[in-house]
Amino acid sequence: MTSPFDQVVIGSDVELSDDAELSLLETLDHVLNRGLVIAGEITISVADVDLIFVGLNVMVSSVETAQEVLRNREIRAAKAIAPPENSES
Amino acid sequence: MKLSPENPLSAEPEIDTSHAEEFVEQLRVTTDTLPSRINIDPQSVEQGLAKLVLTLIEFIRRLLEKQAIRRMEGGDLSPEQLEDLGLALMKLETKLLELKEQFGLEDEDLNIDLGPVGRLI
Amino acid sequence: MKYYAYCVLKSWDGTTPSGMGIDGQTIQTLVVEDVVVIVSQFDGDIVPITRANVLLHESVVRSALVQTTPLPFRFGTLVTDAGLRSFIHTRHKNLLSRLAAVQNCVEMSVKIIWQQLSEDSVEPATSSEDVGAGTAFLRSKHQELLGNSVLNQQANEIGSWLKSSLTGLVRQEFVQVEPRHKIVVAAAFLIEKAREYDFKHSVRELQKNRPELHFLTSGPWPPYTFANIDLEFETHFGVS
Repeated sequence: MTSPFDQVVIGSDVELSDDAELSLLETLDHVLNRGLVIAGEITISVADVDLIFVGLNVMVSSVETAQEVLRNREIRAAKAIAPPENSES
Repeated sequence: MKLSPENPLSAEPEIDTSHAEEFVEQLRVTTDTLPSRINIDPQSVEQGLAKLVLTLIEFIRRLLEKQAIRRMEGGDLSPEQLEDLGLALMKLETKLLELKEQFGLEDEDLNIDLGPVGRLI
Repeated sequence: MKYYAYCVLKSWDGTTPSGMGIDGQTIQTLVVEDVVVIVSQFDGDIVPITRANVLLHESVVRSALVQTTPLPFRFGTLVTDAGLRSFIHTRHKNLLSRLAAVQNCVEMSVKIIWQQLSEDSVEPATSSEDVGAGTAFLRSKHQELLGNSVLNQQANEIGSWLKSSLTGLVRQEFVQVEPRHKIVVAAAFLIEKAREYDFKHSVRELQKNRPELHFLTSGPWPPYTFANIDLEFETHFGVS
């Protein structure tokens, strides 16, 4: 399995200069969800049992499971922070 | 709607650094740990499950290690207990390395870097 | 039928962004309740991460930045028409307040590489004692831990220094510290468009104060980090 970055670069037919590559990498860093690119996303969920489900989302992409977990996590987070202005999420 | 000469926003975000090569190298490392989808193909599914299981085990192993060190610092373990504990943890570490190798997984695959939580443990 | 979603805006002058979006599809502006969403049609389940697609996504979002500050979606956000409308309906208040928060702002990114010197960490304990392998193992892990906590402290200090040095210039900041990476600090700052020059200048000054740190500053960007609008969606990108 080629690395994701190689896939991105292979798409181009020119050798990228350092500057061009840097620009591409920085762009990637912004357009992709930070939570997935760095360990942070997994890290947060390590603190409680959610690890398994979020892990699934990242590693096995079980769509329904991940959606459910993220939704539950969001609901819990909203309750924990402050009374939400929205009546529901 | 199109960018015009009067519009101050640059057409591309500017990047300012004196260490382009260094940053390219480091940013590639981050990018290379992008998660990938597991295809519906028996071998990949196994790998996905292996990753999940080993990540959990590795996390627990680190917790155990840190806890053992705390006990050691606390001074309430006898030399024999300490030695036995150390040996057991050492074997656990070795075993996990073997398993990782068996499945062809790297540290990054197990998302081992615990980041902020790692510092809390 | 699915949409590839690029960003959400408060208002639009009606000129449809020109050019093609992902997959060669026409870019459309949808008005949903009182916000505008820039989308293009997408058939398929995964958006391949290719250079072209990534740059295309960014350029579409960027083109919105000319007129107003959008809330960008992350790459690979696919949604049905119904899903989009439901999303906007339930998070309406939230969206409006996020849009207000980023109005006239852009995002700047600062990354810092720090070559941690191992000599700076705790000296290894020298013991003339004969200890068993198990005990030696624990002791060396202990040393490693102590070294790590020194590292953590130092890395956190760099993060705090960056944050406090720039705090007067920024509306919001998001500073991430990763002591065990070379890029110890990765920070995003939401600044007013007009303060771009001041910001860049200040960062250059900070660099001069700490030559041992290697900086990378990039921007201005659309506020990807401060949009907080994609919690409900999965991003559907992939590599095979």
